This record gives sequence, C-alpha cells and structure tokens, in this order.
Amino acid sequence: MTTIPVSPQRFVVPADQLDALVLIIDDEPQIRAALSQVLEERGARVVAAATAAEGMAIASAERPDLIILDLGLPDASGDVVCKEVRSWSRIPIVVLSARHSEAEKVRLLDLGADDYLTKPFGSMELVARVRAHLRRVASVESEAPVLIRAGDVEIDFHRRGAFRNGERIHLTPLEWSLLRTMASQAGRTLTHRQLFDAVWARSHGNASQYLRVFITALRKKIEPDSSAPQLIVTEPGVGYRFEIPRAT
Amino acid sequence: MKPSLRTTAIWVGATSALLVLVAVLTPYRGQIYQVHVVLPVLLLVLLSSTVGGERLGFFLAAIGFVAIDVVFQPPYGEISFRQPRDWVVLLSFGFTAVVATRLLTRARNDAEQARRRSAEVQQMADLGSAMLSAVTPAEALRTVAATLREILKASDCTIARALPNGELELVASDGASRDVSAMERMGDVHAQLATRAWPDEARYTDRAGTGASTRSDKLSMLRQLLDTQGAGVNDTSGEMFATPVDGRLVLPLHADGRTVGVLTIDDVAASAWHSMGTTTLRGLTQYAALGLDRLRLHAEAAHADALREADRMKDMVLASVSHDLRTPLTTIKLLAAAGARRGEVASVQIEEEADRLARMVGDLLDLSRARSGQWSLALDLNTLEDLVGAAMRQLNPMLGERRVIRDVRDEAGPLVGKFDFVAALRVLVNLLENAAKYSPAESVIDLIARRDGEWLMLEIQDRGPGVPDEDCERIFTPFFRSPERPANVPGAGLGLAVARMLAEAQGGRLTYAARERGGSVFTFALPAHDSPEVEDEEPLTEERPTALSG
Repeated sequence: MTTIPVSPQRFVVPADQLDALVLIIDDEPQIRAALSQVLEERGARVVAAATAAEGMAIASAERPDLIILDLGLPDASGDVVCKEVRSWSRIPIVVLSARHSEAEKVRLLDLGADDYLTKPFGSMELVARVRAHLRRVASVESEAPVLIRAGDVEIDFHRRGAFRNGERIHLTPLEWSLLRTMASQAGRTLTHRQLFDAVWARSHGNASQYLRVFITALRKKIEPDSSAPQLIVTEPGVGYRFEIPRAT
Repeated sequence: MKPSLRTTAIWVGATSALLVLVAVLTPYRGQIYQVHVVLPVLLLVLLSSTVGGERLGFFLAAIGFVAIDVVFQPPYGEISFRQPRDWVVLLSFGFTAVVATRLLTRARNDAEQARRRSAEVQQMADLGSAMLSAVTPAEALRTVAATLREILKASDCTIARALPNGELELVASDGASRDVSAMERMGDVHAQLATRAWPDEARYTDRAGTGASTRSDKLSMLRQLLDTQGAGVNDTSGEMFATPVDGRLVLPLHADGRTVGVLTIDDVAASAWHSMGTTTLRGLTQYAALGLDRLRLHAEAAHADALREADRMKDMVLASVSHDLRTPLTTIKLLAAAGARRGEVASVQIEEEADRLARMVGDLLDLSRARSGQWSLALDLNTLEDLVGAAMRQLNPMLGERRVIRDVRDEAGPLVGKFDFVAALRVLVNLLENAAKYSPAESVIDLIARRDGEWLMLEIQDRGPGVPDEDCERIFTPFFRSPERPANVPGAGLGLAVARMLAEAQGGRLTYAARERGGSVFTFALPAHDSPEVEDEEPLTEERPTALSG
C-alpha cells in the first residue's frame, strides 16, 4: 500500500529538487533560456529544441521525463506534436500558449496533453505543475495508490469510498465515480469531455450537462470549504483537476 | 395660337369642297329632296372635323346650315323658315352635325391622350430600368439627364447635388456643351440661387420670352408638384429666375422631405415643354431626386464601410499586440522570479509590474473581444459555488492577506444557473479586484452568493469610499477613472466596462449601489436554472450501491 503524505497546507513550495530530464520545445530563445534557468535552478536537467521536428527527434532519442511544448511553432502545430508523442509514450506534456482560448486548451488536453499554461505564467505555477506531473507519473509507474489522504479526508480505493476521521462519507455512486476518476489521476486536468467519458456511458449524454452540479455536490461532502475548494480545482472553461496538498 | 400652314390648307380645302358641293347640287334643287342635299353636306362636315378638328366641323356645319336654307329651301336666295318641314330638316342637320363632330373630337382626343400616356409610361419605364441597371449612382443620374434632355429637346441638362455647406456640386450632365461649360453654368445657377429663396422657386422661361401667359398652367402644375414636396412657387410671371438665357428650367429636387439638389435644363423646346405631361415631369424630377439620394446613400455606405474596417483593424491590432505582449511578459516574469530567488529585491517589483501589465493586456484583449462580439459564450449549467471557488483561487496571489468573507446561501434553492463560466468568472474576478483596489488594505470584502427568485445574485461589498452619485453609471464605461481615486490605484479603467459587457452578454446584469454603512455594493445577477434532475441522486453508474458499504 502506497500512502501519499499530505498536509492541509497549500501553496507551499517544496524544498525537494526536481530530479528529471525536461524537454523544452519553443521557438523563442528568450523563453527557452528563462524556462531552462527556472528549471535548472531546481535541479532539473534541460534539453531544448526550437522546432517541432527537432523536438520530436529529441523526444524519441532522449526519452525525457516531461515535455514543455510551446504552441505556435514555425513548422508544425502543437496538435501534431501531441499526437506524435502520444503515439509512443505517456510522457507528460505541458502546453504553453499565448492565446487565451479555452477551446484550444480543451482540444489539446483531449489530444493527450496533460496540462496547459497560459502566458504569462509565474515560475511557481510552472514548477508546481511540472512537479505534480512528474510525481503522478512516478506513482503510476511504481504502484497505483490505494489510499490518498487529503487533510482530514481519506480516499480509499480499496474500500471504494471516502472517509473523514475514519467515518465513511456518504457518496452517491456517481459522486464516487467522479472522485475516483479524478483522484486516481491527481495533478492532471481532466476536460469535461474526459470526465463524461469516464463517469457516464456515452448514452447518458443528457445527464452529463449536470457534471458541474455534481462536482459542487461532491465538494460539499469532501472539501472543508466548498466555496474555496482545495482538492477539486476548477480549470475555468476546461475541466477539473484533483490536487493533493503537499507536505512541507 | 398662330394657325399653321397645314391647318390653313385643311380649312380652305374643306370650305372649298363644301362650296363646290353646293354649286354642283344647285342646278338640281327643284328635282331632289332636301335630304339628298343634307346627307352629302353632313358627310363632308364629319370628314372635315375628323381631319381638321372640332372647330372646322362647327364652321362647316354653320355654312352648311345657311347654304341649305338659302340655296335649297324655297324661297331661294333668302334666309327664311316658312315651312315646319324645313325646320325639321335644318334642325336635324344642325343637331346631327354638332353631336357627331363632338363625338368624333372626343374619340380623337381620347386616342391622342392614350397615345401620349402610353408614351409617357414607356419613357418612365425605360428610364426606370436604365436607372436600375446603372452600376453606379453617377451613371444613373447621367441616364436621367440624357432622358430629360431628349424628351424636352433641350441642349443641355445638368443635375447638381446640394452639399451640406450649401454649395452645389455638379454630378451629372448631358448635352452639347458639357463638362467645363456645364460647370460654368452651374456656377451661374448657383450664384443666382444664392441670392434667391432657393429651393422654393422654380421658373420656366420660354425660348422667345413670350410664354408668360401660356406657361401659367405649367407653373400651377409646378407649384402643385413642389407643394407636394414641401416647397412653394412664386409665380409672378414677369420675374425671371434663371439666367437671361432663354428656355432654361431650374427645378429643386427633393427626397425624404429634404432638398437634395437642383436640376437645370437649357434651351428647352417650347413644344416639348408644352406637350410634356405633368406625370412625366414629376416622375422625371423624382427620378433625379432619387438618383441624388442614392448617390448620398452610396457615399454614406462607403463611409460606414471604411469606419467598420477601421474599427476591425483597431480590434485586430489590439488583439495582436496584446497577444504578442504575452510572450515577452512571460520571459520577464520568469527571469524576475529567478532573480527574486537569488535575493534580488528589485526582481520582486519587476514581477509585480509584469503582472500588472499582464492584467492590463488581458483587460484590453477582453474588451476588444467583447466589443467585437468574438467572445463566443458557452452557456452551460454551472453553480455559484464553483464560480466563487475559481475566483478565490485565481485571486489568491493578488489578495494576499486580504480577507474576503464568503457567504454562500443556498437555502432558497440551488445556486445553479445557465451561464458561461469563463465570462462569469471574469466578471467576478474584476469586481473583487476592484473592491480590493478601492478599499483600505485592512478592510474586509464581503462576497455573498444567494438566490433571488429567478436570479442568482453575487454581491460584492467593500468598505471603500463608494462612488459619487453622478458617476454611478459612468464607472461602467471603458477608460473611466474616478477623479477622486487614490493616485496609487493601478488600472486603465477597463475592468468594470468589461464586466458589464460580459454580464449582459449572457443575459445577466451588473449594477452598483451604495453600501449602507459606507462603501460600494456591486450586484452581479445571472439567470437561475431549476431542474428536477439536479436533485436526482439515483445511481448513474453500473456500480451497485452495495459496493459502497463493502
């Protein structure tokens, strides 16, 4: 059984280093340099590519732990890179875009990207996302977590339920299904579509419009303050992401 | 009217024919009945009136009357009415001749009128189709000028348009002396118009200058024409309106109750002028007026197109600049953060300023998107709790230690509505940022989410100075910045404008009210949505409820 240690604190920069190889695909040299600096300062190793073709070549040769992909590359769209990388690997892809477009985010996430950052973003935000994805992949590779502890709430995959102080929180089957889907991919933004597909059979498309309503109901049961959620985070216009608060 | 040569010939011929007939029949007057005389004479009268008109008919009828009485009724050689039988013959002749002549004339006139009408209708139809098929308004006006010149057999026809400053501008001309001379003539006309009560006058000067009496009918027709167009005519006939050039017709052109220009026709042929029907003249001037109006609309449309294009370009530039600013802003933020980690104090400030710039860029981009209608709304079922949570998360770095007391009241019904989450979030974030900017740093901001009948209400209350009454609405206009605001408050005055635009775009409202104990209350209302399914907690997955207790 793998237990992920958690604390009720959020927005805490962990002291631990990023021990990973990160590939940056970006045609802007300044951005490449700035991203490299931020990531290297935290212990990551960085390789960079200026074009999609070069990026895909490095990706298959070096097998990085994570790819940061800027959209608007001169030679190919981000869609192409996402699809190509996804065809042979589950390497986390974090997309960067200057366009403030939810539709674009959703499209890329549905194509297999793991996360999306809109420029301008802060270094803390970037590092937090990178770290979350590296951790998620690491945990998937070792052993799927059986228990996630978030604050005073435990999510027990084995007993199929959520518990507060040892007492079972009453969840409807749908709420449990939503929670299980999100918590098992903690750190990853799931689009509305991806959640529909995982929780509802496609034939229940009519019920899917209530996704946001069900999420609110679920939050009321597991979040300490449902109007300031800490576990189920809304990615506006895109979907939801389960976040596990990190211990300091 | 001076009789023409042809008319004279017809009269002389017809009269001679009657005299010859009488002369031929005179030797037989004792042997024939009077009716043998009356019938040929009557025939001649009718034939003559057919060719020569009503007057000739009456004239011959009178001669015939006298001739029958004097030559063929005894006692011969004197006007006498001895026998009742003679009376019957004479009166029958006279009555038949007059009635038949009248009928013939009327039929002739009717036919003539019908012919003229059909010609007029044809002219109008031709002009109408020519105008419609003209590609440009200027071409259409040239067609009108050419048609008018042709119909009136004039030397020149020009159409000038009235400019807003009162000047006349030549837009179309047709005739022998076009171009330069047309411009000169327009100058003449304009000089006179300037000294006259234009456009309330219209004058026709006959070629020979003798038409003062005969044109009164035309002038009354013109007055009628102009009266229907809201103008009047001064018909003191001796006074000449136009230049001393004879035969010039000057007509003001009206459309939509406004004077849009002047029509000038030179060297109008008197015959053409007299034979032209009222309808034709009215129709032709209206065509000219419509042509000018079309010219104006054409120009206005071109202007509007240019404005729209300029507006579109502005939005594009704005969007492109905002977009292009994001990449360098990212670099600045990342490098500043790296500097801050190394302990460089200035770096913290650089990052803050970069954030501020990023917010302004976002506001500008949002404004241009909202204004150009490019913000495609996705109206989905959403909850206020979700919205409030997302706003708090987004504002966390900006609010810092600032306390926002959230009060989510769902007792009155679920806080579910059909709205665009991203747009509604933008509104709420802008309102909270606004509250944070305009109230003391240590003061509390209240955020109340509640249900009010058909509406979901979000109230944002701050304890700042509030808004002066006169600015209550102006604060929602782009780039408005209160003159009383503290100097250190950042922003371009776009947040509230964008917020209101986005609130209304999705059927919501955004209003301001003063807070009771000082400060502002911004109320953001969104349409609520009730659905029975929301409460429905029946299992929707294949998992059986028993699995939960396992």
